[in-house]
Amino acid sequence: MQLETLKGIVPAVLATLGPQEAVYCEHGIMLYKDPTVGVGRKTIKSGGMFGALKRETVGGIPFFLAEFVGPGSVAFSRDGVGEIREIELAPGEVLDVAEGSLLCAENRIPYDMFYVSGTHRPGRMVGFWMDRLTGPGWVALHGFGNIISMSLAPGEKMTCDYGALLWKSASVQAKSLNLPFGGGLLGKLESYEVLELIGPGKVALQSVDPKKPHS
Amino acid sequence: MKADTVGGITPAVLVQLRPGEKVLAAHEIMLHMDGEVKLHRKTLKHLGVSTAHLMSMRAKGDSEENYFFAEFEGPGNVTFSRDKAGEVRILQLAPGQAIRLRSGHLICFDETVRYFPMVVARWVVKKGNDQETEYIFADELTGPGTVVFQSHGNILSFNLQPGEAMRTSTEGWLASAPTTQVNVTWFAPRMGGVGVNPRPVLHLVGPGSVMVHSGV
Repeated sequence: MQLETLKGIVPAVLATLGPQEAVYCEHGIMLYKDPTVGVGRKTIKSGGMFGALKRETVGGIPFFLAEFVGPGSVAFSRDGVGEIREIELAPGEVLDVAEGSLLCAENRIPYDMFYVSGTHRPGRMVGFWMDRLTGPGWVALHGFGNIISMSLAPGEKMTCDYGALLWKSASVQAKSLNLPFGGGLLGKLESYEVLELIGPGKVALQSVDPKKPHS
Repeated sequence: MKADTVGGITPAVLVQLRPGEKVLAAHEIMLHMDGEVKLHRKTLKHLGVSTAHLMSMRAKGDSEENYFFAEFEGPGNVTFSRDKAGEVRILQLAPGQAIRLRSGHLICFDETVRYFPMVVARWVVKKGNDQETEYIFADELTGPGTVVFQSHGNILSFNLQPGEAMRTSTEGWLASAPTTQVNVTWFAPRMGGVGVNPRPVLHLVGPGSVMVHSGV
């Protein structure tokens, strides 16, 4: 399989597949494909029926993935202003990708997902889902806005907005955190609902929150 | 503080704070911050804006800003993003130098900068049998210190000589110096000698600098 980013303000990725080579993606983000490319369904087994129901109702995530089998080319787009990263995962390397950011992944990459809980406070009652991808293989991701990458040393902490996290190494812990604005009732009421990321590992942030209305 | 722009189309701002150094930013626009950066709240009252003035602004429909700013105290790095496509500008204001910036575009500013919310233009529109006043809200920022803001789309900058005038749409005005007058006039395309569908436009008169942005 070969991945090529079709650059521009709203970029897309083109996957060129050899015979019987396959990629998967979230349903509904295909831009175009050659007639020779077959389409199938890849069921997400993680969490069983109740897990799928939770993902569907809480996260709005389809309970299956779309699978495209070569030969031929297929392009994917997240319909947003941003940047695309093609990442090659080494054998056993695990990448956690924020929901709604995966463009496509090679079919040999096992797919799983997990839920990052919210703080259960007003403003962040619910959390969000992350895709868990395990190498070896290639993946393509879409970052909304610009992508800012950094590395965290063991035990090093950083705080980020919920919508800012694009991907992280599996070794980086992510947990919801409430940051009050000082003391007093107002300080507790008016607060940041954020994510705390704890190293070691790599982190990539996106400068636009895809869930916020933007131009 | 040291501020840098990160990225292109939808930029973020990276602020590096020294120990004890503080920066104020609109609530909910923080993208990330280092673990050692402390977070506080600074109300507009603490910044010298009277409750009466704040209530008067609220009564007019208010700007997009909250009644407080988030205050970040160094050492460490903080990034901010307005989640919009546009340009970021980092201005170093000299002591006493001021800028009036359209509300909702301010990203962050030094604690040494004086902040004051205000109305820069108003006009009355007829809606059926009723009349409604519409406002353009602005943040007046007075140096010394650094001010960072973002436009929607691209920024076009002008420097008006004394008495020199220009016109822009009500949505196009982004910022201007306090010395620049901002007046509202009406523009009506003429069809068959009759003016139709009159629209308010801003008539800006120098001296002073003006910034117009291409997005809405």
